[in-house]
Amino acid sequence: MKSIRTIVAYGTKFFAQYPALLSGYIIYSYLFISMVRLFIKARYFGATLSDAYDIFSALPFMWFLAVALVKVIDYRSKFHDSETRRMNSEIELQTKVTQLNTMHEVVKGLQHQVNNPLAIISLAIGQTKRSVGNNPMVIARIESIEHAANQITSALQKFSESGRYESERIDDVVGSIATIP
Amino acid sequence: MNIMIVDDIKSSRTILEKILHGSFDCSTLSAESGKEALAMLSSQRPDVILLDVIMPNMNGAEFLRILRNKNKWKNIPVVIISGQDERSVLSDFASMEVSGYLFKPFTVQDVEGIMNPILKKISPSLPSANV
Repeated sequence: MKSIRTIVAYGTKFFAQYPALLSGYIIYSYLFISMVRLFIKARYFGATLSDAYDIFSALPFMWFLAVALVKVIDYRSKFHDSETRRMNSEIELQTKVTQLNTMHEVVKGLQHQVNNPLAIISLAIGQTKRSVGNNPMVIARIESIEHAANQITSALQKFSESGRYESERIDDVVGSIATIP
Repeated sequence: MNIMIVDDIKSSRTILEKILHGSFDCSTLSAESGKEALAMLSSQRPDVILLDVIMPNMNGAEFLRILRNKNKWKNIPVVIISGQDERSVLSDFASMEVSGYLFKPFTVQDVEGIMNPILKKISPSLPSANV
C-alpha cells in the first residue's frame, strides 16, 4: 500500500514537473486504443468510414483536453513559484523589521544612558563658563569640551532618527521593503 | 521658594541644585525616587518639582499620577526631565498636567528658561535669572 502511494506521489510530482509529457501519454494512449479497436473491428467485423469516424471522433477533444491540462499545470506551477517568492520576501521583510526594531530599542537605551552623563557635562560646562569670567584660555578649553559633548549629542540623535523606518509595499510579487525616510 | 528635584542620579541632582541656587533665590529638596519624593511631600510642600522619568522604586509617570490625584498636591507645577526620546515622553505625559519639559542633555540656559516663567507665576516679585 505504501509503495503504491509512493509511486502515485512520485508520478504526481513527475507529471507536475513535465505536464506536456502527461498530455502526450493521454493522447497517444487514446490513439493506440482507438487504433486497436479499429483494427479488431476491421479484421473480424469489417469497418466502414463511419466506424473509423466513431472511433476517432473524440481525438480532437482529447487533444484539446491535453493542451488545457498543460496550460493549467503550467499556470499552477507559475502561481506556486510566485507565491513562494512572495512568502519568502514577506519573511525577509519581517526579519528586517524585527532587526530594525531591535536596533531602534538598543539605540534608545543607549541614548538614555549617554544623555544622563551628557546632561551633567553640559550643566557643569555652563556653570564653569559663568564662574571663570573672562579667562580666554580656560574659556577655549571649556568650549572644546562643549563642542565634543555636542558632537556626541548630535551623533546619537542622528543614529536614533535613522532607526525610524516604515514598511512600504512596492509590488505584489516582490512584496514589501523597509525604507528609511 | 522651594524646589524639589526627583532624580535617581546623584550627580544630576547635585548639579541641578547648584544651578538653581546660583540662578534663583531658592532652597532645594532632593529625592532619588518617586517613593522617596512622596514620603518627603507629606512633611514639606515644594513650589515646583523637577521630575526625572526613569527611576527605580516608582518612576516619574507613576509619581505624577499620584500627585495629580491628591488635592493638596495637584496644583504643584512639575517639570519633566528626560533622557529618552522626545516623542515617547510627550505621548506618555500628554494626559497629565505638566509645566514644562527638559530633554537631556540640556544647558543652564534651558533650565533657567523653563524655570523663570514658572517661578514668576508663583512669586511675581522674584527677580528673573539672567538667561
